[in-house]
Formats: sequence, structure tokens, C-alpha cells
Amino acid sequence: MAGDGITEELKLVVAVKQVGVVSDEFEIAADGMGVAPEDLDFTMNEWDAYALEAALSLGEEQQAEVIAVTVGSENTEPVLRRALAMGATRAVRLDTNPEDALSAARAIAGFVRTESPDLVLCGVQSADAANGATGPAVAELCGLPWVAVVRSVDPITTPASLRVTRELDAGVREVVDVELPALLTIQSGINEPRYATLRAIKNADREPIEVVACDSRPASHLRRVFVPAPQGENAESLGDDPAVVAERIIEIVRGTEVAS
Amino acid sequence: MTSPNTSGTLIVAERVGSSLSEATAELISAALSVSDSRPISVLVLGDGDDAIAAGIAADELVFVTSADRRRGAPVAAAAVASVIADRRPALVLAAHSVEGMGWASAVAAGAELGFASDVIGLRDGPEGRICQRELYGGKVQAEIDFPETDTIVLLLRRGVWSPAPKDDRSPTKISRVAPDLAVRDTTYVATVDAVTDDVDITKAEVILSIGRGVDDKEELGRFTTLAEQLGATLAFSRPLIDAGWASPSRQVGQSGKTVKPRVYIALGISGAIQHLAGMDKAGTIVAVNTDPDAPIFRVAHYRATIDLFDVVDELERLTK
Repeated sequence: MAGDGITEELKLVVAVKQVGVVSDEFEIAADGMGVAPEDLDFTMNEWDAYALEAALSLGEEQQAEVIAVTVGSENTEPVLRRALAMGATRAVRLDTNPEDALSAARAIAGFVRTESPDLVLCGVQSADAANGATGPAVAELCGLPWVAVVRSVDPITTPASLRVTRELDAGVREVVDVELPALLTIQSGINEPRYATLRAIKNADREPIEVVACDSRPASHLRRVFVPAPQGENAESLGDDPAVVAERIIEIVRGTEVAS
Repeated sequence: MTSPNTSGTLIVAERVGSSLSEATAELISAALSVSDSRPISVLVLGDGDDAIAAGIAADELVFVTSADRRRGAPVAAAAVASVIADRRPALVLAAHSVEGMGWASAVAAGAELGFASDVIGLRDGPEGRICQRELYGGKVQAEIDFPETDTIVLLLRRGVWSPAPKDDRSPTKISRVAPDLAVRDTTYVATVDAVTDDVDITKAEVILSIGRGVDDKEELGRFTTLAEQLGATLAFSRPLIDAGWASPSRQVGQSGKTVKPRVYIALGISGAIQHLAGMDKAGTIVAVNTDPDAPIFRVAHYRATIDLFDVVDELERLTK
């Protein structure tokens, strides 16, 4: 049975987010509450790809079920398809539109409590909102210990505990032991997320995605979004001619530049 | 306008050696910039010397002596939650740092408080506090508030608020509390120092720094040579170090090195906030990036929005 420290098959839950990427030229939506949808591309959050890879690697050392879960409406299912193509064994969509990180965390926590996994993995933060908040909130709501900003995960050698390394400022790291079940937030650079083969991508399109109703409640309220005033105005432009730019750089390096 | 149920500000400080981090004074400044934020209490995890309070412009300093920091983020969260439940502050502030990110959202989730992180602006609105934060790497900002919330927990970005001046009369009160913190914790094992297997880039006078704009690792050799030709030290932003292009000792940024060279040339670096924190005090900053909105330009002295490889071709020609 998973989650009781005596696991024959590991049960791993990985939270993945489909993040928006803003195109070079974009506009704010008419309602002022986000970027215009046509100006957004979507992709799997980079940190979550690292988290998923970490789970899949752990799952290669012993039998494991790797459950990819996302919070969102139907248009977030591509991120689950990508997770399945990479090797996740189950894909679950929690059917609500989370307004903020804690809203997503409440939804995920509800799911984690029903599944009782051995380990929950989240990315440290998302590339679009960069809250860095979802993981620890999920852990707290599930009564799990957690370690944030994990840079390496040792193989699971005992059913009861895990040794990880977490990242502090300035390149300093800390080695920490945590009892299972637990939650980790995974930092970038921990591994190299695997590519999905074309065949796996095709197969993933046919796999089922479980859709689960859930509770969520935000901890903040969005009033509006806006484009901030440009702040690069203080920098002197070196112009568009690469030769001139290069000459100016060399002057600056040599300390012979004349400030204008 | 604060709720009648809660009042005052709790600032969760971080320790650096035997003092509190510089961010503490910034957080106090932020608290003082909004209305009805006093009394201001500074919370310190673990016991310490009363002298740690010297100069802190707050009304009270509270040591949570039972918070053993070696027991990790869950214990920090339990300690802060206990003090919040006891003292019922309207505002809880901490730095958006590795430490703050470890416990703050957990505390807010567990007690159903308002929450926002990496906050870069804070002000009073007609119905309570209003915060500003960035989205999409800074291309967009969001304004958020916390309707019908008695206590809000905010992680503030470091370096945005000016530090409150030292106040030798404060704090007037020092307290110690020792709540029972029986939680599932983690166990500290060891600290691993930063990797130092390569050059010390903090000693370089001129740094040539490359980022994601240099897409192809096959090009690395060109930049190594160019750095030599320029008499510069080659450094990297985080994504390239994550991808294994060089030793972590050459990484510029919050999780790498903080550098203050005479000249910093940033090629193909967008300027994520963690990167800027590692180089924005450099003497002269030149940034080349085809994205005119790249945050690196906020700190640059000179800018060029042309293809970095066109510039590199010319630099190679001129330094042959």
C-alpha cells in the first residue's frame, strides 16, 4: 500500500502547470485581466519538467506509478499529454481555473489527500507567475513535511526516508533528510528532462485523462494587469550597426570610452 | 483600512551570522509606508542575543526559541503560524528569499490568510492593501488585493524598498516565546560549500557574460576565445550552467556569484531578477539582446537590440 512507508510500488504525484509565454508584441486583453489570449503560446512549465523527470528517474530504480496532475480547464490538457508522452502512467486534470498559487494548491492538496502518494514533486516556481508558493502550501494542507528548492534527490534506499540536497544563495547547498511521505519542490538544473519520442506523443494522444472536480479558493484577488512603463530608458543606445557597437564595447573594456 | 480583528505588522527576519539580514530594514520601511501598520514586531526564529535587536526600528523583537532551524521549513512555518495565531497581526512581511519561500505560502494556506509573493509594490487602497507583482518575467505587472481578509502574508522582493534608518531607541521590548512545534519536520545533515573548481569571477575586472541567446553549445569555444582576446573573464547566466556549459563557479546570479566588475558585458541575457541581483552593481553594464523589453536593460548603461552574433563577428574582427 502506498503512503504507509512499506511500499512495493512507489506512488509519485507530480504537479505540472501549463504556462503562458508572451509573444514579442502583445496586448493586454480588453477586460484588463490578462494578456490577450491570441498573444500567448503555451508550454509545460520548465521547472515542472525537471520535477517530472526526477519522478520518472526515481521510477526507473523501482516499480512506480507516476501521476501527472494539473489544475485548469480543458485547454490545459496538452501539458498532461506531454507528461504522458514523457512517461507518466496516469494523467489527472483538476477541473477548476485557479486564480492564484494557493487556489491551485488547495485543488492539488485535495487530490493528494485522496491518493496518499509516497512523494509529491512540484517545480520551485512557474515561468509565468513565478510565485514559488504552490508546493509548500500543498504540503501544509496535506500534513506532509517538505523540502523546497531541491537540487538533487538520492535514490530511495529505505521505504521511510529520503536524502535530498537543497539550494541556498550563492551556490551553497544543504543536505537534508526527510521522512516519507513528503513533498519536494524541484529546482532547475537537477537533471535533463527526457524528450518524448514521436511514437510516445502519438500514444499519449489516445490515453485517457481523468477529470476530477475539486475545491479551490484563492488567497488574493486580481484587480488588473498592465504593461509597466519602460524602464530601460536610462541606457544609452549604441545603435544598430554591429561594427559601431563592437567598437564602443572595446572602448568601454579598455576604459577609453567617452561618456556622452 | 484594517479589520478590527487584527492589527499591527509581524516581520519575519532572517539571520546572517549574529545579525539580522539587511532585508529586515527594507521590510520595516515597507510596513511604515502604509497606514495603520504599527505596532511592528520583528520575529526571529531560534534564540539569540538581545544585542541582535540593536538599531532595529521596530516596537518589539520576539525570539521563537523553540524553532530549531535545523528542523527545516515545516518548523519555521509552525513557529510563524503560532505567533500569528497568538498576536493576530494584520500584515505579515518577509523577504522573497529561499527561506521565506519555504514557509510563507504554507502558513497562509494552513490558516486561510491572504498571500502574495515577490511583491514589488505595496500601498493602501480604499478597501485595504494593494500589491503589485510581475508576470511573464516582468513584461506585465499585476495589481492584486485581498478583500475580506483579516491577515495578509506578503513576501517582498529584496532591494526594492530602501532600508529604514537605524533607530537606537528601538525596539523597546524583547520577548521570548516557546510554542510547542510538534510537526513532521526535516533533518539537517550537512552544508556543502559552493563549488570553487574554476576561476573566481568575483575578482574579474571585466566580465563577458552569456545567456540563453547563445543557443548552441558548439559556439562556446568562440566566446572562450573572445573573452581571452578582450582580457575578460567568461561567465554565464543560470540556464547555461544548468545545461552544463561550465562550472557553477562561473554562474552570475543569486544562486551563483555576485560580481561588481568595472565592466560587465551581457550577451543574450534577458535579465531574470535573480541574475540582475548578481550583477546590477557593476561599474559599466553593456547589454546586447534582441528583445527591447528584456529586463537586463533596466540596469544597463549601454544597450543594443541587435543580434549578438553580429556583434561577436565584429568583436572578433577587431581583436584578431
